[in-house]
Amino acid sequence: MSLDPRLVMSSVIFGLSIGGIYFLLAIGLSLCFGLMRIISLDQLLYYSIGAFVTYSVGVATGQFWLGVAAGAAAGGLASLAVERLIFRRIYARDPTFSMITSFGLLFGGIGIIKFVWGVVPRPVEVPTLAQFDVLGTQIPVYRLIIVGIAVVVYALIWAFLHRTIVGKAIRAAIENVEHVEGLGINVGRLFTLTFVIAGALSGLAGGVYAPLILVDPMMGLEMLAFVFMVVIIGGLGSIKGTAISALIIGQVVSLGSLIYAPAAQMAPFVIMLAILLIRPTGLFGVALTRR
Amino acid sequence: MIELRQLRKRFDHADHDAVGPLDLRVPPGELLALVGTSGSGKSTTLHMINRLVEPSAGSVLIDGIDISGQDPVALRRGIGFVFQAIGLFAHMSVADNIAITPRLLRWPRDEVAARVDGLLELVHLDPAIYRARMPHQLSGGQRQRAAFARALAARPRIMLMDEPFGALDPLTRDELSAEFRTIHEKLGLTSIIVTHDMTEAFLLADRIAVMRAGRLVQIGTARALLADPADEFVRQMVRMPRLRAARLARAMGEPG
Ligand SMILES: Nc1ncnc2c1ncn2[C@@H]1O[C@H](COP(=O)(O)OP(=O)(O)OP(=O)(O)O)[C@@H](O)[C@H]1O
Ligand SMILES: [Mg+2]
Repeated sequence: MSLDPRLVMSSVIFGLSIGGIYFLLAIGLSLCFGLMRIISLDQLLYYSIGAFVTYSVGVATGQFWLGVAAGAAAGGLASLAVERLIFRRIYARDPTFSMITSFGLLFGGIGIIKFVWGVVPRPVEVPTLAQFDVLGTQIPVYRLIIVGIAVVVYALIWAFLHRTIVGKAIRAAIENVEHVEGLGINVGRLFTLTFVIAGALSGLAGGVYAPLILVDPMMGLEMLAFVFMVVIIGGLGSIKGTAISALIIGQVVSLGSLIYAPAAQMAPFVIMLAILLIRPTGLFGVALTRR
Repeated sequence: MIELRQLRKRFDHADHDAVGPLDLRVPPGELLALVGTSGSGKSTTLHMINRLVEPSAGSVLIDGIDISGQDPVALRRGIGFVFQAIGLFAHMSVADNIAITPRLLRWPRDEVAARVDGLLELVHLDPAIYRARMPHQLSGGQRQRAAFARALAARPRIMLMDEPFGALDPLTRDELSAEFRTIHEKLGLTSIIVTHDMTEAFLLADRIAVMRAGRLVQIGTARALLADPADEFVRQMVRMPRLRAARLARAMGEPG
């Protein structure tokens, strides 16, 4: 079997951009689990909300990027409300409990979205149709912009966690929350902040991905399995692991569909199982049972 | 003053109380040693005083105020805590470890820096050398000193220390515990220190509280405990230092 190198090239770029979206979504899930032991599937809801808000703001103002900013803000606000009203009450419970709760939130939220925006899929216009020539292959510039956004977010999150005292405290709390609490640090505030960051990144992911898909209420569910795999493979609580695993899954999905389409759906699962057999904590993560 | 009234803790799914009922008063300025066998509830008791563990019944009063109505975060800021496992944050420098609470409270930068250096000097770690070190670059004793400094960072009036000298050689142990006594007096702290070492408790503390199976068996000065142990368990515990000294003397006396 021979592959057209131009197809491979555009597939690699496609994989990078979808990997970038996975990363934006998975980082929130991963941090929420690392810090609060909460399996926050509701992040996929903030992803849909981000996309719909981007759509609506775009329609109203004609400003795509303003819409994306509003989508990220809406994601952050929604997750702030959910943290305050719901998760705060269940931190002490088992992680499986939070998973069921967040699954419920995701479905409840989808209902609300259907109520507000209806069930008809909405198109969002691509902000730039420019193409970019790489070795004779036309690459849409917008896909590169997505990759760029993911890289910038990675750098910002890294700097936040490694260079600021609040970020360092979050990492310390991922290490041992009791030791942080014992020093008189308000871990509740760290939890809220982490949750809001997660929600805003999910909203951002929905906003920037909206032009490449049709925005519909179920879009979060389509991502769910892939994002979950990215988090598990990367290891819970590790940004580096999440980024690497998002890259891997992005490529597996896009090259997989190039080589043999049905494999694109299956391959990530196979890879996840293989990695978990070798390293049950994922590439870089902490064990599920600690704390 | 720290006061425990009929304090009890039963963990979920346990069939008996890990602690209590426990009554105890630690007057201002006292250094109390909490001794007892492993699993007797010493750590749990300390954790209830700063609300890392919520009691099942009874109350803790600090300066006469029931802490259950207080904001746990504010409460903990007034209490220095040294964990049984030390608990320096591995990815932070010594200075960041010490400064984390003041910095999150947004103390001015120069004040934080001065505080870090002052505390490092207090615990006899040269700031110029140790400020930037990571915990894994310290010896066990140095880590312990840094953990002390961190516990003191937010200017607490109470210190709770859970076996702070656990994994140290006897010489360093003696040195550090003597230094802690000095710091305790200098800063006018009220302190509770958990220890397994009876000799250390005798040398360091104003009074000694002996716990067994979650209950307070006896509390008093070393002299009182030696003169009039409440029961066989306390008698055995308090005789330990002397028995060992005697054994040592015998061992030394025997031809080599
Ligand atoms: N989080 C917990 N959940 C359930 N049981 C606990 C928990 N923490 C402590 N226990 C139990 O409570 C009892 C008292 O434990 P605690 O840690 O207070 O003992 P300790 O006196 O500090 O012992 P050591 O000297 O070994 O540190 C033990 O039986 C322990 O198993
Ligand atoms: Mg203990």
